[in-house]
Amino acid sequence: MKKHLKLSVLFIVVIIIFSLSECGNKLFQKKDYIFGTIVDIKIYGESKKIASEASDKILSNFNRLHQLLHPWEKSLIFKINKAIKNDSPFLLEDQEVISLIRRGQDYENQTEGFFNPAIGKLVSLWGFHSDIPLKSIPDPKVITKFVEAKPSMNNIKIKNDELNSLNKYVQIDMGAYAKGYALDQAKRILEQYKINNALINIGGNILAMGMHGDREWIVGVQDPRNPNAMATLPLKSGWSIGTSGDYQKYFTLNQQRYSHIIDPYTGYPPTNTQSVTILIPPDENSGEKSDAYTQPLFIVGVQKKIEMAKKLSISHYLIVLENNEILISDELNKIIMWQEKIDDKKITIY
Amino acid sequence: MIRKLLFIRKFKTGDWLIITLTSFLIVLSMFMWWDLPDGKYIEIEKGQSTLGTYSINQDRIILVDGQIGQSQIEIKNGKARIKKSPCRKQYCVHQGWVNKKNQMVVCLPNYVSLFIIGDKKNYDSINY
Repeated sequence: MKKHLKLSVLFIVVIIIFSLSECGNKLFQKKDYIFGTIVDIKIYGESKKIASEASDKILSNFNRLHQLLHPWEKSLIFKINKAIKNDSPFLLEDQEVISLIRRGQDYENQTEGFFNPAIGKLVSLWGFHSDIPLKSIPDPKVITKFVEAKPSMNNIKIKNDELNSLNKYVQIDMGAYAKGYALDQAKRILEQYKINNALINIGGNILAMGMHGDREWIVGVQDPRNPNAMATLPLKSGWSIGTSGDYQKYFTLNQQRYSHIIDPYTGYPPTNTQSVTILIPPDENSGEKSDAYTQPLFIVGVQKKIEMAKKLSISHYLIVLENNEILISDELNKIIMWQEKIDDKKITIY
Repeated sequence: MIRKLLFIRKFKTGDWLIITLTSFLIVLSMFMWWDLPDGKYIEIEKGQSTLGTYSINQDRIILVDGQIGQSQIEIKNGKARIKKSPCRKQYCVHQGWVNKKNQMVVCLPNYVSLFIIGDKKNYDSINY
């Protein structure tokens, strides 16, 4: 009898331990709003302590970047812009900002100038450096003046810790690649903590590491005209996904939508596209590229979009044009899972 | 009546163990697999925390004190929206009603968001 009792107790203890370990949540999640951006971190299969420490570090690093790069609040970039405006040299010793400027120059050159972080003045003119939407569109003469001044990241020269701009119309706005850069940094932080399985979402740009248990991480792609996912897709380890859309920041005047993405060559927001989504394979700057490369694809004319994607070696892209037509690359088409009825939409696979 | 219950006396330790074990497993499985019944729910988040999950079929107004002021969330006739918000651009209010699974309305300045959830979300994170 006693023997049986012992066995039974042992059996129960084993069952309880087994069930509790099964019950234990393997997914750690942290979400926070930082300066108008949602940072959402999911970590799989790590202890809560480590996952929580690592996510706090990602959040505080994002905070630090915000204070360093903010285009119109008292940041280092703000000070640089002020110096450029006053035509005076600026002592720049921050290697991180120097390399961000250099990569900004690279991206501008690779994209024939359609990615241009030097047009901060235009972005500000269109009211996107403020919380209050414009009541009327900017004066076309002022727009033309800024466009004809041709501000470019290549006007910026850095020598012996001194930054000079050959063009005083240059105003740096890293908004089009700062979040992607923050993603790459988040990845490095997780690697320092030896965390292999995570999904980081900074303001919509996502980078995947490892897997969610024994399946791949699945991300949803937002429908540019509806507040839900129009499709989902698996994001492999090390890959990033980024989207530029006319629905993220915009204002409407007389039924016309004006988005925050400004064409550096016209000074106006392009109206041919609703959204551009791209996937970038594992790379040191995967997050940053997934952020930066969507803009030139968004801006260039419909005929040139595919050519630009090829030029930038982007194999996975999904473009929703203004007339709801969808352009998708063959590689992405193979893995995408549509969540909506798309029979009525014209889809072209490249 | 009491007599009828006397059979409990006949129980031996092993029987009790089996009863305890079974009840434990039942409770455990309820926690693990008890999903919300079919239908849609509104999950309201503020900052880092989930404020609550509400049925989409119960009309009500929920007031959320966010980062910059009070947001008013309305659930009516199987739909939900942010009715009033203290933010300047009012993107969240202009978005209007949502009623389909996986739809969401986010107010970044006020740190308030609402999601329509069904039985299961079919993705881990959304790209926007």
